[in-house]
Parts: sequence; structure tokens; C-alpha cells
Amino acid sequence: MSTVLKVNSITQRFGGLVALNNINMYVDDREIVGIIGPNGAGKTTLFNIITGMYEPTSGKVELAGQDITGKKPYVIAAMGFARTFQNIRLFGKMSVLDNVIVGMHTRTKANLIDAIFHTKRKYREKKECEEKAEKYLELLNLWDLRHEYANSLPYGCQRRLEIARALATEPKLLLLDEPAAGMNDRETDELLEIIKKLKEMGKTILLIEHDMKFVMNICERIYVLNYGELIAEGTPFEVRTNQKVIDAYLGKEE
Amino acid sequence: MSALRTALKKTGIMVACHINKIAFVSVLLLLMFPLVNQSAYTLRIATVAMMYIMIALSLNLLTGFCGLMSIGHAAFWGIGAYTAAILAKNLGWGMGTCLIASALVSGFFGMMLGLPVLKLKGYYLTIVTLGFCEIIRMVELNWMSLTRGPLGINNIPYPNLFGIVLKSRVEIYYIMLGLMVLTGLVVHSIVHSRIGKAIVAIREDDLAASAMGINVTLYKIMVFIISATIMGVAGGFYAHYIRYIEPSIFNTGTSMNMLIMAIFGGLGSIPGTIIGATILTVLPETIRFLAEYRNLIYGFLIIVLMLIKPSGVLGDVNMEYIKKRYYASKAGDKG
Amino acid sequence: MLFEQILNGLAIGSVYSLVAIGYTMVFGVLKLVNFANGSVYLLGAYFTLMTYFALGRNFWLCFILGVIGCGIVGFCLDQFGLKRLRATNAPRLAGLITTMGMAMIIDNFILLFFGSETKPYPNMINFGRIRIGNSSISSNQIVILGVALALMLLLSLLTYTTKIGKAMQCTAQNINATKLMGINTNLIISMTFILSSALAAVAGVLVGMYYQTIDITSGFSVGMKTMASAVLGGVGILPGAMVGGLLIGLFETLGATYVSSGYSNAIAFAILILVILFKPEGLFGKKTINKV
Repeated sequence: MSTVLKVNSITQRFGGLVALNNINMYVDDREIVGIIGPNGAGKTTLFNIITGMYEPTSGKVELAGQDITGKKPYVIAAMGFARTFQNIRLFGKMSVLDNVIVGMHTRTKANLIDAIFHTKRKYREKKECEEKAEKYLELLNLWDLRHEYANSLPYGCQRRLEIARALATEPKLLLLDEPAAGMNDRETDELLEIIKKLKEMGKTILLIEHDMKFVMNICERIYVLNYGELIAEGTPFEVRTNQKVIDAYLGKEE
Repeated sequence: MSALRTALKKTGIMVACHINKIAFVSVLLLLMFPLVNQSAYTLRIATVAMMYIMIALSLNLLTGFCGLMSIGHAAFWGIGAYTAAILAKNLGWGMGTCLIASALVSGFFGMMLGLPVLKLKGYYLTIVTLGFCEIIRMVELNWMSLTRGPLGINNIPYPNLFGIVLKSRVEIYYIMLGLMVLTGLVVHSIVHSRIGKAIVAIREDDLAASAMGINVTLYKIMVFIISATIMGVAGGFYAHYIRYIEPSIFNTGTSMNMLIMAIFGGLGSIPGTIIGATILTVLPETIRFLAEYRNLIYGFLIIVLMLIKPSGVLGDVNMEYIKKRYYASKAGDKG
Repeated sequence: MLFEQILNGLAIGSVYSLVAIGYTMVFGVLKLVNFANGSVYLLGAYFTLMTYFALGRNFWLCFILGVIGCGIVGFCLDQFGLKRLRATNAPRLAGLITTMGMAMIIDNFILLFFGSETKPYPNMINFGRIRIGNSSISSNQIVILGVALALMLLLSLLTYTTKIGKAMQCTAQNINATKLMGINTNLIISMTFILSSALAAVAGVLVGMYYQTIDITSGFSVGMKTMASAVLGGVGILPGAMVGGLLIGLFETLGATYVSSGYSNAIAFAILILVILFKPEGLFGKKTINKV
């Protein structure tokens, strides 16, 4: 089994604050891995480093063996990491379908000349994109809403659209930042089904989540962050019974 | 009230479904216009209006579709105009080559300005373009040997296309019509392509766009250059058409008026831009009272517009989506 | 000679600081560049002149009226434009365009009312020249510098020691949190607009008296230069605007003397562009991490 993501002793400082301290982790192909931890543990910061939004103070990030530390987010996206955002960031005034098509940007090639002279390639690509996008929307139960504006969707649908958009980049690793945040039970269950489907399709996923039931249910391995430190890793069972984790969540007994 | 709304919605759907035909018929009508009316006055207004449509389209590509605001675009217009004027007068170049040169020179300046500035986010572009417009105007004012400074360049030769001198207003009208249609087609093609989707995505959320693999800076620079190039062509045409240019034409006030034309009709809407630019050119030209208080009225108009509908009259109206939604719902009804 | 030029530059620069403070204060609370600020500066000068012609005699009374008048204009700018935009959560661009619309209205109002020709301006602060060693300085410069520095000191005291100043700082940091603390942020923002407009008006009158003439185009160029000052110091930072204004005044005066006077305006713009290219956060600014 090959390693898709490898994080080598990443440290991130913001001024005097150490947001992440010497983090090591990996994700193998076709794995579903979770990152949990209390608020402010540095989970989203880690995502930001992996996807190139922040440059780490020290350490290395590898994508399938290639060093990608310090590369621009769009380069990393093209190389195969796609993410969703904790506070939804859709292209609000574009249709649902177009949001997904934007996700295919790096997998298509039509340039300015194709656009202006309406070449065959442009039409062919456009058709392929639309067909593929509709498939992703069917997968995420959004097909009916495909021509609506993204910002007119209900909250749960917006979260799913973010996943659809990220999937459209055909990533080697899908990074989901609190995909179930703010969802009600029914929506969470729907999401769970979708992620299970993605797993069957052989996708590799790294996800941050607060909802314990959700994480324990779906992840094969879990990393636990607290105050920027990696305090535990292992299977859901191992993590659940880890004393450090219990302390971090419930507070230490004196 | 609700009846009016339904009627509006129905008309909207009808217009959206037949927008290509409407555009085609409009161009046909514009082609036939000089056959019916040859008065110098109306032809002049029509020509100027079409030039402003071209300019507003260029600005709307930048502001409406990409979310970047420049208040110094008159500088590119001026660069194009001076390039064409100097080449036509001093070197005797024909109009075609002059326009190409105008486009290239303006585009080059757009690139020089865009390359460093567009890496930055936020309000910087707006401030820098303002400064750029002033610097260019000062160069035009002070570089006496090239631009004749405040005297301006007069007696610019009549447009000369492949050796044929075009003196009549009708011919100039047709040249402008051609340029406008070309600009419209180019902007339309860009907006409805893969690149156009990337551009709009950048406007909506540049961070999310970069996470989707879009090279935000590159596309911003590209749009800026395209927009500057179109402005250059419009400027080259203007120099040939008006035959006298001087630096004060190309100041920030002009840039503002151009921007207002682009915003009024609707940010991110090509039909809106065309309608807006037409209204804002034709009304002050035909109503004396409006001409005198033009800028004052523009000021009030833009503030009221921002309060009522910040994206302009037809802003946020996406014909393509309306059409698709309509056909989808029709297909849904049958199935 | 050099000493006189430096003093001259500082005097003009201190006036720029007053206007630059206006940009910075508004940017601080609203993250918005108020393009109307340069026009308000011009309006202050013209308004004072108008009341002086109409009422005659007491220039200082007219001066105060002019400043109050501009304060009211600033208030209206917020009240009838930006406040409503805030209420509807309009896009950032809309605010920017609204201030530009306001600038157009004020500029054209002045143009229609006063015409485009250069007008003489009364000088009330000329008490002759003072000799120091072998160079002499005019009282104009001393008065302008004195008034401007006094106002800046006053404003700093207001911002950093009073309750209202603290509320302003809070609003600048996080408007929603400030609202939740029971502070009327709309009132604070209105205050900011009134203060910045009044300061711009004072600056307009001072410059009018200094050059003893006034014309319609100066609003735009001062607007540009002061915007450059604010950016140079770091937009949103009060001491930054003060130092930035003084620096731009110095560069401009020295540049006009030792380089070329034809391009004296261009110097400010060139500095502006250079700052934006090499240190966009300004001299006093800190790099910000953009939150995802």
C-alpha cells in the first residue's frame, strides 16, 4: 500500500504561539483517517499547511513521496489534494453545477484561444465536464438542485456541494474540514452514507470532525491533537481507551 | 404587484431563451440603421454610444466578472489614443495597424501594472490605478516632444483602412459597430468558457478558487491585460474618430464615468452593460439639462443604485441559468 | 535653504497628516477607503470662503462654521449612504463606489457653485517672518505646524485615553463583538466620519491660507497624496498616518526643489506605488495572517 500523505515533524508558530508542535502523520491509499481534538487544538491549521495555505515554520509535507512544502495552494490542488472548508466557501453566485465544474479546472485544458475561437476541444470538454459534474451531483444527492445558485441552498446541501466540488478535482486525497458541523441527525446520517459510498469507490479521505460517533463510525485510524501536540493515534478503539485522550476531553482528575 | 412580478419573470424567461436571436437581430438593425438615418447628429451619438459599450464591456469583464475595481482605466484609453494618434500622424500608419499597435501598447502597460499589483489583495488595485492614471496624465502633459503636452495632438489623419481613406460618418459608424460586435463576442466567449468560470470563481471567493487549483494571480493579470487591451483599441478608434486629443480627456473623472456605465447596467451581465452604457451615453447627449449636470446626476444615480441594487439594474441576472432552469423544469414536467 | 525647505515640507506634511488621519480612521472602523475625503477637504476650504464672503468680518467664525458644515457632510455620507449598506450587508465594492459617488457630488457641487477658476484666499495667519540665524521662517508655517500638531495630539488623547476612543478602537478590531458589548457602533462610526471630515476641513482652510489661492483641482491631488500618506504609514494605524503625511510632505517639497517641480505630484504617486509593491502593510503595519 502506498502512502498518499506524509507529514514530517511539522511545527507552526504564529509569533510566540506554537499552533502545532512536531507533528508526524501519514495517510495510506484508500484509507479513511480522522483528526479529532478540542477547539483550538490546531486541526484546521494542519489542514491549511497540508493544502499550502500556510507555510510551516519547520517540517515537511509529502504528497505520494514528493515534497510539497511551501508550494502554492493551486499547485497542490493540481497535484492531488482537495479540501472543503469549515466555514463553507462556495462560489455563491454560480450555479451548483458550475461550482462542481470549477472543481474540474485542473483536469481540463481549454485555453483563451479555445475560448475565443470556439474550438472543438472547448465543446468536447464542456460536454464531458457537464456529464461528469452531473454524476458527482447525483452521488451527493444534489442533482435536482443543479441549476440553483449555490448560496440559495440549505445549509446541509451547501456542505455536500463543497464535497462534490472537491471530488471534482479528482484528488488523491480528500480533506474534509468538519463536514458534519451544524448538521442535524438526519443530514449527518445522509453524509455518513455518502462517505461510506466514497470509501467503497476507493477514495482516500482525511477528515476533521467533532462528532465522535461520526468519526468512530467511519475512520480506520484516528489522530488526536491537543494544544498543538499529537497526543494519540490508532484505531477508534485504541483512541477511545487512551488515558491522555480522555483527560484532554474530560479534564484531568487531580 | 405580484401580477407585474410574474409578467416580469415570464418576459425574463422569454428573453433569456432567445437572447442569441435578440442579439443577432439587434446587430442586423444596427447594420441597417445608417440606411434609414444619415443625420450627422444621430450617427455621432450612435458611434459614441457603441464606443462606450465597448469600454463598459471591458470594465465589466474586470469589475463585474472578476471583482477587480480600477478607477484608472481612462489611462489605458489614453495610451491607446496617443499611440494611434502619434503613429498615424507622424508615421502615416493605417488605421488597422494603428489599432493593433494601440492594443499592444495598452496591453503592455496593463501587464506592467498588473504583474506586481495583482499579487496583492483588497483595495490596493483601486488606489494604484488611481495613481497610475495621474502619472500617465502627467507624462502626457510633460513629454512635450512626443505628445505636445497641454496643446494636445490635433489634425489626426482620417481613418485609413488598407489605403482607403474613410471620411464619411457612415463608414466610421460601421468600423465602430464592427469593433463593438467583436468585443462583445470576445467577452461573451471568455465569460462562457472554462476561463470565465475560473474568473467568476475568483470573484466569489479567491481562496476557495485557489484551493480548486486555480492560479488566481495569473487569471487576474490575464483579465487585467485583456481589459487594458480592449481599452487601447477603443482609444485608438477614439483618436481617429475625434481627431484631436489632449491629456485632460483621460483623467480619473473619465475613468469614474466609465466605471459608472459598467456598474449601472449590471455587474457581471453583458446585456446589462450594453443597455446601461447606451442609456448613460444617449440621455446626456440628447437632453441638454442632463448634459450640464451630468456628473452631479451620475453621482446621485450611483449612490441611489448602491442603496437599491448594488450590482446594477441587471446585475445578478444570469440569462444562462434562467434558461437552463426553465428547460430543466419543462423536462421535469414531462417526465 | 535646506532648513527652510524642511520646515516647509513639514508644514505641508502636517496638513496632509490631518487628512490622512481621516482615511485611516474610517478604514480602521469600516475597512473602507473613503474616496470622498479629499473632496470634503476642498469643501471645507470653499465653504469657509463662502461664509466669509456672505457674512464678512470674522474669518474665524466662518472657519468654525466651515468645519462644522463639513462635519455634518461627513455625518450625512455615513447616515444616508454607508449605514444603509451596512444594514443590508452589501458587498464591499458597493461602499467604495458610494464614497466615489459622494466625491463626484461634492466636486461637481463646488464646480457649479464656485466655478472652475482659481480664487484668492484670505490669509489670517501671516505675522511676518522670523529670523533664526541666517535663515528666516514665515509665521504661516509655524502656525500651520502648531495647529496641526495640536490637533493630532488632541486626537491621540481622545483615541487612547477616553472611553469613546476605546470604543473606536474596539470597533476597529471587531465590530460584532463591540456591538455585543452594548456599544452603539453606528454612533461610533458616525463620530469617526464627523471627526475625519472636520479634520479635512481644517486642513483645507489651512492650505488655502498658506497658498492664498484655492482651485477646484487641488482636492483631488491632496486626496491622492493623503491616501498615499495613509498607505505609507499603514492604513488603519493612527500614528502611521501622522508620520506618513509628514514624510510625503517632506519628499514632495524636497523633490520639487532638487529634482523637478513639473512632476511634484507624481512623486507622491510614485512613493505610493512603491510602498504598495514592496511593503503593502506600510511602515507601521504588521503582516496579517489570513484566516481560513
